[in-house]
Amino acid sequence: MAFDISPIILSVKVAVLATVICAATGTGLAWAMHRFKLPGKNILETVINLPLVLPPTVIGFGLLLLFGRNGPLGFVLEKLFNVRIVFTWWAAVIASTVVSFPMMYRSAKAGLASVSPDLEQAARTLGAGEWRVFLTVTLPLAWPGILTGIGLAFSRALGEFGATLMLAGNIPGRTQTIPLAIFFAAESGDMKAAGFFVFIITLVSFAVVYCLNSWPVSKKAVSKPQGGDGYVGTGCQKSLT
Amino acid sequence: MLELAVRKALPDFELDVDFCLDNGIMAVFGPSGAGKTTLLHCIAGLAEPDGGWVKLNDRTFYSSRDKVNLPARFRNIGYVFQDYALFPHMTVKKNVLYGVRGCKGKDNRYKLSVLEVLEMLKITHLQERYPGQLSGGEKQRVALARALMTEPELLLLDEPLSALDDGTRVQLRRELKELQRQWDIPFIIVTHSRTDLRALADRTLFLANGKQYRQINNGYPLFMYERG
Repeated sequence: MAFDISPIILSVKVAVLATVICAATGTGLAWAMHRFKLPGKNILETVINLPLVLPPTVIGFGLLLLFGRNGPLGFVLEKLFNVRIVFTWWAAVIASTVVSFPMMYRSAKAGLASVSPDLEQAARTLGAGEWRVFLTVTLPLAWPGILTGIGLAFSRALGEFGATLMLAGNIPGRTQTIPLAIFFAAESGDMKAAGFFVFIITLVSFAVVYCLNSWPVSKKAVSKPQGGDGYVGTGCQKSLT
Repeated sequence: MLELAVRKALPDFELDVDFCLDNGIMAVFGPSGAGKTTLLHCIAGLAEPDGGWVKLNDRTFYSSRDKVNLPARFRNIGYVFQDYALFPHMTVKKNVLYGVRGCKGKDNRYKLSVLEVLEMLKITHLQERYPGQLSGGEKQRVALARALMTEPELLLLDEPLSALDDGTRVQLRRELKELQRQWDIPFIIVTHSRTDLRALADRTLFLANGKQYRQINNGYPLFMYERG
């Protein structure tokens, strides 16, 4: 029995892109919020977390107002770049990104908060600039939280339904992602197709959660004792006497 | 020569300290919460004083009058944190090398060899281990090695011996003293142990509620007390 696999390809494409955008912006914003005392921090924090509690249809409606032909962003994009977002696969990416963003942000923030400020201070006293401190100390130590955020954001993006339906519509082959395919297949009585997609999305979600759960175990294995390898010089010498 | 006069408001009192330090080991002694760590942070550039100045070897690190506040990374001050602050995801070798960036050969100064420093602190055999696999005394030595590798002009140590058992503490006290003589740079050691004070300090700054005291009733070293 052959199924149309275009929803799978589209879903993966949308989810990967949304996750990449979330990972970069979510980690960056979490770092800025963690590092600096920004004005209106509580308000911004609430806005960032709003997609967690709002129904996806509300988010979809808001995005439609923003990116629709007469919406501020939609109007600008169409006039300046002749680009239309609504009912394209980019709309699915935007919807998935907005809905997944709080997952990424919260996990990254928890990860960053777990890094002892003393370690960052120590790096500064050793001559490291802020960028080096972030890349060599903060990021590697916050990595478990960031990785969890990436996994959760990917799973959420893959399963996004309501906002995607409102902003991207259900155009088979163009904007029909797996959740949309499941809903419309089930609605039209095609339970085999719906079951197939349900199986695929469950399998992928299981794999993501399984990897997230087992990752810290493999990380601990890294710090096993290793043997020394003799001289470690930096090229020049100084007499200490 | 370290010259400083700093004022900084803390939640319960104001830190108000001024002194000069040429060489040797100066102990900053006082009860917990007296502002000792804040003083070290102000010297290292990890906290900004509210007023005053900090100068080391004629370089101004902080001056409220001239609005100068040099970031910590440019001060070339070694700092050994109370809990050592070793990077847990790096081996001892990588920790020690963290502050080494290229060769500093411009003014005919030679670069330190990591091996020399590791040997001096007797931690050569630990170089491939992670901080989580080290004892307290070993961590302390690694933290010292890491700070010394940057060839600092001043070394700050925040309660370096407080987390160690008695045997290790006695040994490290002696080693710290030797290390200071060998490196010939001023050390400032924060402590609230009188034994550390007697064993280590060439000079003492007594701090309580952010104020330095020139006299102590119980007969312990006075402010800027010079040992014979």
